[in-house]
Amino acid sequence: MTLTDQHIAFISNNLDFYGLKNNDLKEDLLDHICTHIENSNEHDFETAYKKAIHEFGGHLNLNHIEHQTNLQLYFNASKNRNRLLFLMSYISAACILLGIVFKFMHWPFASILLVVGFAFLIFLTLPIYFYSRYKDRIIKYQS
Amino acid sequence: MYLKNMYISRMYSKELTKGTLQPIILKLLSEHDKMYGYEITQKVKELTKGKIDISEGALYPILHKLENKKVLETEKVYIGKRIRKYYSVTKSGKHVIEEQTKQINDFIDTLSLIFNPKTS
Repeated sequence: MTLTDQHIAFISNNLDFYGLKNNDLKEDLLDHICTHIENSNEHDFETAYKKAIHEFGGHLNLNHIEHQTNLQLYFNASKNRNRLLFLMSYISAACILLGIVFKFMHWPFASILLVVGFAFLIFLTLPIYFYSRYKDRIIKYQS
Repeated sequence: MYLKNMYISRMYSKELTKGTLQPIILKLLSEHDKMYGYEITQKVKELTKGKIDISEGALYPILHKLENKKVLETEKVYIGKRIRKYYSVTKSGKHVIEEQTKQINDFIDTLSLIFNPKTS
């Protein structure tokens, strides 16, 4: 059967309604469902649509697909963020601790080490830490 | 006899096919110029006589991941009111596919060492 613009809008709205937030994925799924219906032998849109959704494993499965996609997409990004966070934490901790030791011993450059260490901590480590917490929470919410 | 045939002709279990889906998708895409999601599922069904059925639930997460990794690129084509996304392999993706094809061929050989020890 051929689909009218209204049918396509109906399917698109339905995908929105069932909580699909990733737009790229939505375009893919919309086209998939439409092609599936167009290739089916049904003449009635209602039954063809129901059948198509049934083959998908129901509406619940749509959310599952999105969840899986998000996991696959953001896994590497999250890993890289964590690596950066560890590195930055190490640098700031090392600078501050060395600065303290230097200060005890009255060695030169103690203040520079302390300033660099705190600068790293305040301007890099902490922002990255909060950003990565924020990102992880967003992903959890989306999927 | 009936039971024996049933296990041969039926679809493979999800656990069994799970790890092979990505190499299958990549191989298909490398042999074709560009394909869209529905076309891929149908092609796999046709080639394997329905024994391997890539579900949408497995297909799209893999496609999006590969696009994100720059192995695949997409081309959007408007069909009436909706968008169809054609997936194709990027230049850097070709190396990944070669590697994976090699690996899976090796894997098949290794499996036959275990399951068909007489023939080797």
